[in-house]
Amino acid sequence: MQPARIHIPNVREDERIGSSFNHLIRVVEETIHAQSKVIWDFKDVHFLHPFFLAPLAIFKCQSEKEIRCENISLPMQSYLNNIFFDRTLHFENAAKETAEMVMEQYAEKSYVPLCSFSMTDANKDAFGAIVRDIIVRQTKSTKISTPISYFLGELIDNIYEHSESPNGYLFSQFLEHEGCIDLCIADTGITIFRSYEKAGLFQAEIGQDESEALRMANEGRSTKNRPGAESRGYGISTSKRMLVEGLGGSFFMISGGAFHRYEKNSLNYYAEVKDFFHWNGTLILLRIPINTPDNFNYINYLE
Amino acid sequence: MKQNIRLIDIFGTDLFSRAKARELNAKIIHNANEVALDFYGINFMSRSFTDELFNIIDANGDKTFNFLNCNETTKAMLKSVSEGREHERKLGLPHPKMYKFENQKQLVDFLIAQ
Repeated sequence: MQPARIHIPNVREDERIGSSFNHLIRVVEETIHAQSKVIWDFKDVHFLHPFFLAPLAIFKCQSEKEIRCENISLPMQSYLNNIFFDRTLHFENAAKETAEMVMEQYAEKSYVPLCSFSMTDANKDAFGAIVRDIIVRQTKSTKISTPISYFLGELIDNIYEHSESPNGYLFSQFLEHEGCIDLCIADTGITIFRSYEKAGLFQAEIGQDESEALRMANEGRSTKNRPGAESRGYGISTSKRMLVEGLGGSFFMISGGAFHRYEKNSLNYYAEVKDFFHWNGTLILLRIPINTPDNFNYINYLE
Repeated sequence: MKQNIRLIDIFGTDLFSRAKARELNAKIIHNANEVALDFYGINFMSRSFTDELFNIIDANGDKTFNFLNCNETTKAMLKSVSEGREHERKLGLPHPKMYKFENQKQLVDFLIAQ
């Protein structure tokens, strides 16, 4: 049987999160439903938006299908090799000093390659700090250091606490012309909907609606709250407020069969797509402007 | 008995995860009645770490805990988490729109229209 040839579109850096997602759904769906081996055809690709590229790479890493990439231009091939598109840069029980040494070379680049890090790794805190420091050095913007610490700390911790994923994934690309960082944090775990289902919480509100589960998580309804007090569940909601309302950035999340989008231009919605699409795990995309507004104060967003 | 714990010596400069905070429990000496947590050199402390830290403090109710050498952001985090644990959270978020798409074309049309 002939391999199925799937066209990879050129997804420019000025495309919005929604259109990158749109392209991603098509490629993922065609790949999943192909009856044979798959060829991803890059003949028209000169640039790939980070919010298309990172999920595509994560999908490829965990796909059981044999996927071959063809017609990749030399500069694109070089970029894909550099960001570890085909295999991820994996950290497992790496000592902090070793991880620092490996990551040091990226301080002079505009990207943090696609990294995977073991959730059993005692040094995952150190890894978050190393990535933050690399991003700050790339962008020369010390003001974003604390917000990025907050995003990385909370979102990586959520993977550890809730997803049951063996690994977390991270990719970052500094887009100098746009003045922003596109940061992707993902897992291949049980999805937010399944996490609530497994905990047996909020089932009356959620029912079978995966977008409702996403809304619950985004509004801070944790599966692990203390009796009598809501001390958990702030990670996503505070990160979102700080990013969108404080920094003027954009937030996108997909988990299982639902996604959520929140942007400064009053885009704030949840959508269920489970009838035709399922993302294996949870993926969060953050567009972080590097020039923080003068009135931005990290402390104002703590709750 | 007094115990002084320099967090940087155990965890490094950044305190991110709940799991790390839980490790602190094992460091607290059983017969200490006063524990000083020294934040000297701590660059960042996450909300999750802070919340778990308060769980540990609650679980060691027979001891007095003091915080030393906190920087401005650490101080603010300790204050907001401590206050947040005392009352029910007010969500107060703008009501989002909820959509359901039954096929890819519906979604594509929606995304293009935005």
